[in-house]
Amino acid sequence: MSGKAMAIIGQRETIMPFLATGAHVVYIKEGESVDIVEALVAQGFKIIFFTEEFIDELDGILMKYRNQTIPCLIPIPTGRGKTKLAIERIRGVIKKAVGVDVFLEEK
Amino acid sequence: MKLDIPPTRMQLLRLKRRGTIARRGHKLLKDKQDELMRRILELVGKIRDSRLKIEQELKSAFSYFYFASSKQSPKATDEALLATTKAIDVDYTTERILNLKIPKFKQTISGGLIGYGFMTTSGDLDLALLKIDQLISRLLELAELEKALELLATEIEKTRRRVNALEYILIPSIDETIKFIKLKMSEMERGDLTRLMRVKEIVRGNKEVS
Repeated sequence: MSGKAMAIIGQRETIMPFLATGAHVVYIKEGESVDIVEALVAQGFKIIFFTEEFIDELDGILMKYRNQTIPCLIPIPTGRGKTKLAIERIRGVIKKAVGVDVFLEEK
Repeated sequence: MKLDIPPTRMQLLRLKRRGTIARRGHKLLKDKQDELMRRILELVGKIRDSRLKIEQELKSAFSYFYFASSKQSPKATDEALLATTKAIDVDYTTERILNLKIPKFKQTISGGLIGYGFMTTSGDLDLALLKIDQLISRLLELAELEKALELLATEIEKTRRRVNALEYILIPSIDETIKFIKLKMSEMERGDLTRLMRVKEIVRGNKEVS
C-alpha cells in the first residue's frame, strides 16, 4: 500500500526522521539527484520532496516538469543554516510571470 | 507592419472580419490574464505563510531528532525508524482552474507511527517523529499550492505573450493594412475617373476633327 505516492530524497542525516512517516525515503549524495529523480518519476511517484541543497542540481528537471500536473517536485527546507533557496526560486517564478517582485515584503 | 495582402475589396472585407475577431480575442485573453494574476497573488500569500511555518516546525523537529540521535546509539536510531508500521498513500484528483489541471492530494494513512520499544531510545525521538508526522499533511498542502503556482505562472507567461502579440502586432498591422487597402482603392477609383475623362476628351476631339 505504501509507496508509489510520496518520496523524499536528500542527504542521509537530514531526511532520516522521515523514514518513520511511511514515505519512500532515498538517501542521495551530491551529483546523484538528477538520475534518482528521473528514476522515481519513471516508477510513478507523484510527489517528490527534496532538500533545498539540491535545488541547483535539479534545475533542469524542475523546468522539464513545470507544465505537468504530476509529478510535483517540491523543495523542503533542511532546517540547517539559512538556505532560502526554495523561497528564492518561487520568487523568481513569480517575478518572471507577473513582472513584479511581489514577494518583496518578506525579506 | 503592413500585411502582405493584395489590395482588393474581397480582402478588405476579410481583414475587417479578422480585425473584429482579433479584438474580441484580445479582450478575452486580457480578462484571463487579470484573473490569473488575481489568483496568483492570492496563492503567493498562502505559500509564503505555509513555507515559513513549515520551516520553523521542521527546524524544531530536526533539533529534537539531533538531540535524540546524539543520546542513543546510531544503531538504535536506525532500528527505531525502521520499526514503523506506518504507510502513507496519496490519491490525487485534479481540479480545473481556467482550464489548468491543478492537483489535489488526499492522503490515506495506515499503521502506527511508533513501532519501537522505549528502552533503547530517547524521549526526544518520540517528540521529533510526532512533529514530523504532523508536518506531512502540511507538506502535501504546500506541494499542492506550489504546483498550482507554477502552473499558473507558466500560464500567465503564455497569456501575456498572446495578449501582447495581439495588442502590439496583429491588431495594429491589420488596422494598417485596412487603411492601406482603402487608400489604394480610392486612388484606383480616382485613376479610373481621370482616365475616363481623358478618354472622353480624346473621343470628343476626334469627333470635332472629323
